[in-house]
Amino acid sequence: MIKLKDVYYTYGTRYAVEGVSLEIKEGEVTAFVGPNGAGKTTLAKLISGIIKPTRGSVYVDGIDTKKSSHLEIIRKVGIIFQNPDYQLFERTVLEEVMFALKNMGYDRREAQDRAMKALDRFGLSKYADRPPLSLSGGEKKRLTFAIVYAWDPKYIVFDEPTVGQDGLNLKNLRNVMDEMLKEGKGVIITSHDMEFLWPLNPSTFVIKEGKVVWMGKMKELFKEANYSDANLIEPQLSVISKKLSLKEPALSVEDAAEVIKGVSNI
Amino acid sequence: MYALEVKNLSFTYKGETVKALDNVSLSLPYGKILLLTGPSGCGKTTLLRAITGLVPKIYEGSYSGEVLIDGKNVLKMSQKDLALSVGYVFQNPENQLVSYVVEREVAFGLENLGFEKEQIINKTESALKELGIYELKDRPLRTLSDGQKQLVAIAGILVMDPKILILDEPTSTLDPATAKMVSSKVKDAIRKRGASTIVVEHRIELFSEIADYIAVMKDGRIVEFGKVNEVLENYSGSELRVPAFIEVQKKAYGRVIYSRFDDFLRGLNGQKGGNFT
Amino acid sequence: MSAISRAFVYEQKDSWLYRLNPYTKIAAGLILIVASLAFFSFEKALSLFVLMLTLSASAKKLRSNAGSFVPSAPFATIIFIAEFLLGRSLLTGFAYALRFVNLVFSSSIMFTSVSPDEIDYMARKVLRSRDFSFLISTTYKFIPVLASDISQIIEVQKARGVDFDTKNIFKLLKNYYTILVPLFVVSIVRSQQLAEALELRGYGASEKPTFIYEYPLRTSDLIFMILILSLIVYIGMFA
Repeated sequence: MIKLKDVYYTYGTRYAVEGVSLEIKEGEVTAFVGPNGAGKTTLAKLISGIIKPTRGSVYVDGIDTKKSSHLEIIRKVGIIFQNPDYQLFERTVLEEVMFALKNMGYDRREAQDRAMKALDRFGLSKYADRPPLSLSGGEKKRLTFAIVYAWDPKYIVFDEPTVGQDGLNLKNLRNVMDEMLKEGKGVIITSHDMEFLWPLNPSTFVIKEGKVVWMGKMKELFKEANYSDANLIEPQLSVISKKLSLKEPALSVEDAAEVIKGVSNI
Repeated sequence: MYALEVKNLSFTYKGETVKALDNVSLSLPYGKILLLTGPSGCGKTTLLRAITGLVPKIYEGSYSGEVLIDGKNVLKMSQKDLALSVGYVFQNPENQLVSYVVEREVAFGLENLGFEKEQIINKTESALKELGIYELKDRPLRTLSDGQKQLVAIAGILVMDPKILILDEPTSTLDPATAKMVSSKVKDAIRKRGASTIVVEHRIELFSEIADYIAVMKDGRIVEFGKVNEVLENYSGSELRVPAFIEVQKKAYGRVIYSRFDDFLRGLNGQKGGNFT
Repeated sequence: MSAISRAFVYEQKDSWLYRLNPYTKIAAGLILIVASLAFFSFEKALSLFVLMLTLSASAKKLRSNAGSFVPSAPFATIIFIAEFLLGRSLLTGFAYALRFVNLVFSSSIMFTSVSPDEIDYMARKVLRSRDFSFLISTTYKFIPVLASDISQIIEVQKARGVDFDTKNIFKLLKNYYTILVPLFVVSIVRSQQLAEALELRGYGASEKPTFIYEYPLRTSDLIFMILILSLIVYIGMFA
């Protein structure tokens, strides 16, 4: 479990995160939602130990991030950022995946093994000897997944993973997340893409101006009316479910279609 | 004559072996809006570059076929003609804004082409008013929000009165509420001007309601072309982000009756669900 | 860091200083800078300092320009100590230190009173080259963007186990390499996009691009210049 206890984070005089307390469980999907600049990415960085709270504490499986090296934390919490171009620099794709492993203390042999397995999983083994910058946009994105997958962290944070992605990439992303959940890992997503998140029904924290203004399961979020305050767009399936006066909202396209077929006059 | 005609266009980037564009043909009538979509690497960007002349001027390679804007071949146009024929709005406002103050940013293109001062000031004023951001005229760009910046970038293009307006994923860096605000202002402007427009978007639902046509590209070719709900009805691949309400219709009715979300909801009137637990 | 950016980055304010003609502002700024270098004695340096404080305060810029004291104070202290160690009187040491503070202060006043548009205007007229002024203003504009890129890259690499806090100099250099390559890539991609945007908006298409603003010379400019010059001459001769 990842616990945040009364966490504050300031950039100079500005509070990016103000008095946040929450819990994240493994084996579940947790989502931080809210508009740009609300503090979602800052929370993601606090959870992965890259930054330490100005006040309060972040505990990853009981370890206080302020009292440990960030290496200790990232072994448990991997974070995948939006733009692959911000990290690629090695000569070959294989070296790129091995880089983090070597930093974590794996010897060259084991690092290479793990790296090859990760490249395999994401269909990139044929590019192992190529320069990472020669890959296409979609391939680079998969490479960033492989990089984190290689050291098998317990929790994986995806920071705005759906921006600018086509349908196929989103499907792959969904598959990767499902697999991780099956392995008992904790999946954490920061996003403003409600349509993508809706079928996952994640444990949701709505962030506005650095504070948590709502928490609960996503399907409950849109039952209440206060989501409009945080500039969230209600997913189409939620709107459709309400129109059909469903007691429980339809989480998938198939479920909604079944309901409509059952009562449709068309 | 069409606003835009692409005739049998093929292009391979220098040093590459795979064709980026493979015999692409497309015609856009005046005042119509085309939604261009497809998975990453399908050739959308190359096609847009060809329409603006950047391919093959800046991006060299083997080029065959023709691109005509308002009947004129793009390759034969001067830089000035091209700037007045095609308006291109990029994804990220940060990489296309060059001035300090909003008014100057919007005026940039016309200043470059040597228009008269009075004319520039008037046109700038109307472009800003068109997008409802006139009050931002004297503000420094760096004090604006992302949504405002993108609107300024769009104003800077509209001010040139281009024959073809190209919007390349204009809202992808914005959060949904801001994206909705920007896209609705842009849609109003397009409708009022009757501008011939090409919008590239993964999030189809943002522009599917005003689009006259949709073109789906894959591997350098246009694989689907037609009216939005017809194309989406027949589409069975997984590369596109098909809006949920369209998928629901396909599964429930076997066809796409409503291409607008609001209409679909109205169509559901009076139909109540059972105990769905 | 923010004090330094406040002291040297232009910010539009509503005061008489900003409404002056750009040539006037640059000329006055240069006069102040030269005076800062030329006024050696304690009395002269102090009088100049007070003059600039008054100028800055009345133009509502004191908070920004005072930010220049943050970088200049440590150097001024070093100068003071050095002069003292060299056997000069306390007053002389203080004068030299103050002279340095004045130099930085006057530069701050000058840089923060001219906007990028005005610099563009003057560059076009004086240098007859739009490219040069555009180069400067674009570089200037992208400094915060670059800074943000660097901090983002650092965070991303930290997430892969790079230790930027290491005391080992070799490791530290290697770590900075992991920032350099992505920074290079991102900057090139950005420049490419910017270049395309410029091309498509007709940059360079006309031999005589228009400039929509006008900066007339007014009586206030003349009065200001006479005032500044007389005050400087007065200090120079009688302080």
